[in-house]
Amino acid sequence: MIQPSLVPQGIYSVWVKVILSVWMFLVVFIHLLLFGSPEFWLFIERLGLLNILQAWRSWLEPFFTANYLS
Amino acid sequence: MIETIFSMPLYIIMPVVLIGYSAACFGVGTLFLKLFTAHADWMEQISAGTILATGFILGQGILASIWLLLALGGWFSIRFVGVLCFIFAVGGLYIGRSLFSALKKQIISIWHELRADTWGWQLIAGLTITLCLLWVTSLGRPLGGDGLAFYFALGKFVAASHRLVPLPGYEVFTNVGLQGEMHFAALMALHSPEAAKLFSWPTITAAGIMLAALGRVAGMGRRGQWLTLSILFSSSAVIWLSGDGKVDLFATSLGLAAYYWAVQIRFVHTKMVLLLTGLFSGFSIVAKLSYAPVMVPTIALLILWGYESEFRNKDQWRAVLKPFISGCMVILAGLILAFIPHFVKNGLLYHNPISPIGSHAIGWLNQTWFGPDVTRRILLTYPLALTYGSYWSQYGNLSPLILAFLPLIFYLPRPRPFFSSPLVVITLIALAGVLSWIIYNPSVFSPRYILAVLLLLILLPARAAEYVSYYDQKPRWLLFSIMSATYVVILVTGLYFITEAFFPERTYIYLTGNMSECERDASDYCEGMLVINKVAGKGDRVFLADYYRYWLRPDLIQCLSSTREMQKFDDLTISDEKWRFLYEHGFTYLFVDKTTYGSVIDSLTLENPPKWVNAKLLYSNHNELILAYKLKYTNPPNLQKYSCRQLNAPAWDVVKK
Repeated sequence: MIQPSLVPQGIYSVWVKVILSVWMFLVVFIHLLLFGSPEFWLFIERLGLLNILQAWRSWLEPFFTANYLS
Repeated sequence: MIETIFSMPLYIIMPVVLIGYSAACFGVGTLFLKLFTAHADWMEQISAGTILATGFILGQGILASIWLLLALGGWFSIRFVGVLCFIFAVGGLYIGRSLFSALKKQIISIWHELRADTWGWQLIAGLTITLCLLWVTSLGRPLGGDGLAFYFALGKFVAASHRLVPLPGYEVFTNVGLQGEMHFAALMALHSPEAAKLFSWPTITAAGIMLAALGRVAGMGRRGQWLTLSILFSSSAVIWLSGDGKVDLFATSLGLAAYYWAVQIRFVHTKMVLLLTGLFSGFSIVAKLSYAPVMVPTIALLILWGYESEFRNKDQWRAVLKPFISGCMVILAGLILAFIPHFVKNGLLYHNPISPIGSHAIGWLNQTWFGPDVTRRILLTYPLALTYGSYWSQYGNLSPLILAFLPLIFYLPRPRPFFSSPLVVITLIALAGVLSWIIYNPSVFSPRYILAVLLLLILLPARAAEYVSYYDQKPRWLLFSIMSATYVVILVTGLYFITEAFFPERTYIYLTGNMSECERDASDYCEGMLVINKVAGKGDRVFLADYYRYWLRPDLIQCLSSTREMQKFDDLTISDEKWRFLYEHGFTYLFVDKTTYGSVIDSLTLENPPKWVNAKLLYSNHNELILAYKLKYTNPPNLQKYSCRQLNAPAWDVVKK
């Protein structure tokens, strides 16, 4: 296995870390929007974000759904 | 004696049958492995868990083939099945006893490694194991869909009749490979449809072990293996197949075992490794024919990679050619060996061993699910569609952790030489497999059709996340993000499926005998069929205008309307002719699902039947869409031509009078 010192230091920069962390958060967040459990939506409702997140969900869903022979 | 054993409470009999049958699978596989690897030193380098999983999965393939041949001969009785299971289980446990002590050591070693790691990784391991254990509660999940129509129904049909003939109503479809279905039949013959329902659990566990073992070959450490299992068990494409009576997971475990042993060819060219590659590939294609266009090219590429280092030496390639060709012959022999029982079945039942190829019933192989626009959209968004898609009949996705961890691969050091790295090759093979499917059938978008190859895509992101977890420097945001994402996805998946596929409370109630099969399945179809079961005489014929049949009594399933009879009925245009047809063919019950077969009811004009017909409504659900009738005939205008009789007990046959 190659030691970290041999890996280009640029990819360990804080900015790359921020971008990758945001990416991970985004992927999981979209998953929650589309396949979140009732507990997740209850939590969102308590935060007062239900309407806006449901609007995002209804905007996203058509990109990933289609009926038979459509 | 047997009845006394099987009349024990469900919470005793179900685990006993499930564990005993799993031991029988392991026994057959281990027996086979021992026969061919009596003095194989290289096997010592492979972990006990991997050999155990290999034995179990191989045993599944072999046992299903044995059951198939037994059923074709009409010998599929509890006596044969039970005795063989007992012999294999006891023999396997005796032969493989050293494996269990090695497994104990391996588990202890994993436990010590986990204890030495941080609490965060211990939590990931704990959550993953919990998610895996939750599968047991899919026993309380209502059966539905294809399992009720064919897979589970065929199991009941074979177990009751002791033989395999085309399932009435699905005569054409019975030409598929029957790997999973024969296990269902065997477990039902052992009086445990519940064990049949849960058999997907040891199957996916063994598949998980094979995938983690592949990860080890690809250079993964323990953290990477835990992440691999987290991703596997948080993939909805896997979870949706728990306890639903479908058979896709059998092909998945066989396919992953095939990939594991095909990768091993790179390191050892022994006959055993080659034979296992062929056998597993063949069994997985038999278990799910949609694997053929994916498995054949990808396994071929892995074989070429296996011999690549020898071929690289240009002076030696002629000398290598001979062992390469003989190696390919061994793989081909394994492949053919796995196919033989399937060919025998189709030869006997359809007079065409390679059916559905070459038969008129090839339609279900050439499916089109979506038009050009939607197909283009799916293809352009493939990784996203595999993660977030809810397309028609998609039946689940891959875990979002794959997509989340994917950019982390840029942290992985570039292997030198690039194509010598198993991780690189396995990932490229997985991509080649997906590409093969896209070329073969772009509009059929469903992970379960090629699940084994898709699951190979887990390894690279899992390894990348593991690598970053070791080498992330302060501030360790990446490590924090990896772990947080894993916790959230596992927890959300568990919570989401608690009401969809996992039913702990219902499982408890069902196992303690306080819930019937119909109550568990909460189905109007079940209730309607139960009414017919109660009043119908032995061998009565039911004209079934409905996809589902599992809940009917075994003798009634055997006497059901055939596809040919349904076609003849449809061809008749006048109501009186249809009634005469029903009488001539001996139908005394009518079961109709108006949502899919409304035309049957309309064409019979049930509100005004001929004077010689009395159609008494036995069951109607709340919205009058599922209907069951008892048909009585007084002074019919013609003679009854067909009836259902028990000529070869316990099987029932529709015969001409």
